[in-house]
Amino acid sequence: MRYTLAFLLLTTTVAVAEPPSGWLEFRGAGGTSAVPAGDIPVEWDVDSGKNVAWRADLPGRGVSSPIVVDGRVIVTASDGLDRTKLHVLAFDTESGRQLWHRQSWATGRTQCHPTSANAAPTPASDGERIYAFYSSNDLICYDLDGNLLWYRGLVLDHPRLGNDVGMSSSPVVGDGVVVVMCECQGDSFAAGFDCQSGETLWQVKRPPGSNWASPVIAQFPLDGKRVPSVLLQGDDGLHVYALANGKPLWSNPGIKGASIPSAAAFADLLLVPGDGLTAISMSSSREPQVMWSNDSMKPGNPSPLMTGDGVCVISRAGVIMLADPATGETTSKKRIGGSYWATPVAVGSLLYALDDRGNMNVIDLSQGGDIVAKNSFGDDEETLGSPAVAGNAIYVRSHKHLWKIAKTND
Amino acid sequence: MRFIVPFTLLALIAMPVTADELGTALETLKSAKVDGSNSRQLAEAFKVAAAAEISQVPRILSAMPTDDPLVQNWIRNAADAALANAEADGGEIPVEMLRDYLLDTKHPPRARRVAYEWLKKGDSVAASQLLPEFYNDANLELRYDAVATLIDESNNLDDDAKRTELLKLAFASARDASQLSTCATALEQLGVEVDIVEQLGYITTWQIIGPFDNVKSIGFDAVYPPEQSFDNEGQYDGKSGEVKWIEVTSDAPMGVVDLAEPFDNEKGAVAYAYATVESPEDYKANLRYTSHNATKLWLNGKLVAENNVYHSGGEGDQYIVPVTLKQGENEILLKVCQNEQSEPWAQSWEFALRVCDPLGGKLRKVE
Repeated sequence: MRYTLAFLLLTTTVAVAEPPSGWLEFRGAGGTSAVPAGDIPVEWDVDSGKNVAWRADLPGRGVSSPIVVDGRVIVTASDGLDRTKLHVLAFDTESGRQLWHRQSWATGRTQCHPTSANAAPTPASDGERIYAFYSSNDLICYDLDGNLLWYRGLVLDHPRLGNDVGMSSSPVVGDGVVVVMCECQGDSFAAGFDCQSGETLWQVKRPPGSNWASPVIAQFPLDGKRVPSVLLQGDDGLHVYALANGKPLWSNPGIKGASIPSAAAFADLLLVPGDGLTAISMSSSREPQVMWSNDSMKPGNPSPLMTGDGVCVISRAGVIMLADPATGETTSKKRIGGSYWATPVAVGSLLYALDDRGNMNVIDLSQGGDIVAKNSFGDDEETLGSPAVAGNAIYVRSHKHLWKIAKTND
Repeated sequence: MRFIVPFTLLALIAMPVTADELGTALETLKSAKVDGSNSRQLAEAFKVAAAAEISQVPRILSAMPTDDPLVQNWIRNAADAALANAEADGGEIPVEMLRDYLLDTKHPPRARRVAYEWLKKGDSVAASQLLPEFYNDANLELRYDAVATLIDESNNLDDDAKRTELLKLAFASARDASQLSTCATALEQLGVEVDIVEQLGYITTWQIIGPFDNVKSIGFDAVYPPEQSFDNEGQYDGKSGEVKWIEVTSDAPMGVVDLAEPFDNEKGAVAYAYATVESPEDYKANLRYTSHNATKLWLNGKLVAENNVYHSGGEGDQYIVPVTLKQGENEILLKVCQNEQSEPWAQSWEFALRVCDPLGGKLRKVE
């Protein structure tokens, strides 16, 4: 069954029939992880090259996602002694040719879990600039041609910032402000930076403790207006701040957020992962309303997403679950197995779920979650970064490679 | 006439960056501020430096300071961009120039590393031939790669005496714990005993005292008598009775000192560890330590680090604290707080601390 509400939400959020040409941040705009349609292959073969438009080598590890902006795929990576070398690379979407490559040295702590990397947060873009962020809390801004515009080493003025399994919260950008959420035991805060200069516009304290979830930008209803806002989740609840100045707008300590999967905003619907999943309606002009909570819809590491077939999560046990977006009632469960860090992407009714071992399961959600194809990127590939979808292609990165998967007519 | 303006603009764009223009740009890049307040000027200066001719790259690199990581990154990005732009315009990577720059150890260590990476890109054979020379380099990245080549080379030797010689050199030069471990294992197989703990400068003998109260984590901010002065004979009211200093010596890997066993796995507790190091003169050094527990560190009575962080960490050198050792005896006091978490992964109550030079090597003159 396809949900009218879900479809409306999606079409409101992404008002196009084709996949967007860009994928500008972690999980795409608003953390949707979904596009309503696209002519994207179901099957490919990295050995024969079938439906593999190109493959590029990467100079270091990374669990960040690629982003796609103005004909470029942007990828971050890290390597070197003590993971201190920070890379930003731009590839031409058509040819896979490397357009530019910039390197810096981390100014902050570089310790992280062996499965992760300093290049853990996904970069973000506003279409004009690229904001690359790292576990070491280096926030680096380039223009689309690789010219360095500004550099903030956040540890240089927050020396206790960092944790030793690595930080991974990704930046978000909107209305000329790039927002990062830096939460750890030593020094926790969220801050907004001027996109053009990198100067700090605002900063708010956050609870001391590790939190790897990412913020979400949404148009928040308040007193009859829509306010560009950033939503921060944590075990102290859900908090909303004005994007422009960091002014606290709203909070609900009862909506305790998870520390790994992140909230996602779909027009007027906000999905917040916690002990289960909570849906919040932002359609009221006064303030948001909790629509439902479903304890069984508990995501593992990947974030929730909205599809035309319902709200979708992957559990820690590798079970794909769908729920009615209006009521929260679980409508299907299907165990596909595997371990997942990457948030899947939905293209229409097809869910592309990338496990940690380089396998992309393509699942037909309209058929209750049947696997229709399983594509391997190679036995020795680790794939922890979420894929990106843009222009009828899926972009996937491992620690070693970046692939563009698109129909190749062979 | 109507084409004059565009042609003039084109001519201006194509004009090479003058020495004065580059000098001004580099001075601007060197003024980078942590708060980003002069980013717009820096971005303009970056474009000037990135447009510099390839012959000007050494000058860009030499603008790199040794101690300002923010400026280092602006300069590095500018040098990379200048080289990449020149290469994109059909130029060749200036191998000889980079080689000369790399070999001159008066140049900033990280700038030499950039030169090495571009040399490797332009002539990987030349770079690999030079690399073994950098086993004692001031740049840790060069040193790491050089030590790796020494280890690789030793693996290809059949002559045990030559292997031992190479591995000893690698062991003496390495600053990376995994490389030291690799060398130590190989040397042990050749019948040569080496001590990683001693090589890294870990302090293994400590006076410890505790437990003091840390229920509800009150102990981190509480000031207990050991913080006020060290008295080896001192006896104080502890968490559950009188406590006094005891001496412990660690024989654990990487100098780890266990506090859980001597203090009977007490939870919600504070312990102190005290040691001294002798220095024949004033020294710029690092105190590097690791602990899964909240800590405060004093050197000669001055608080030099505090980290209210529990059950994090695992690798060595979790905290790196630049200090100056004074001539004579230096007192090190570490406060290590255990909280009341009951999870299996929250039971560790331990630390490891070493005194080393800023590159991570043991201070040879410290006793």
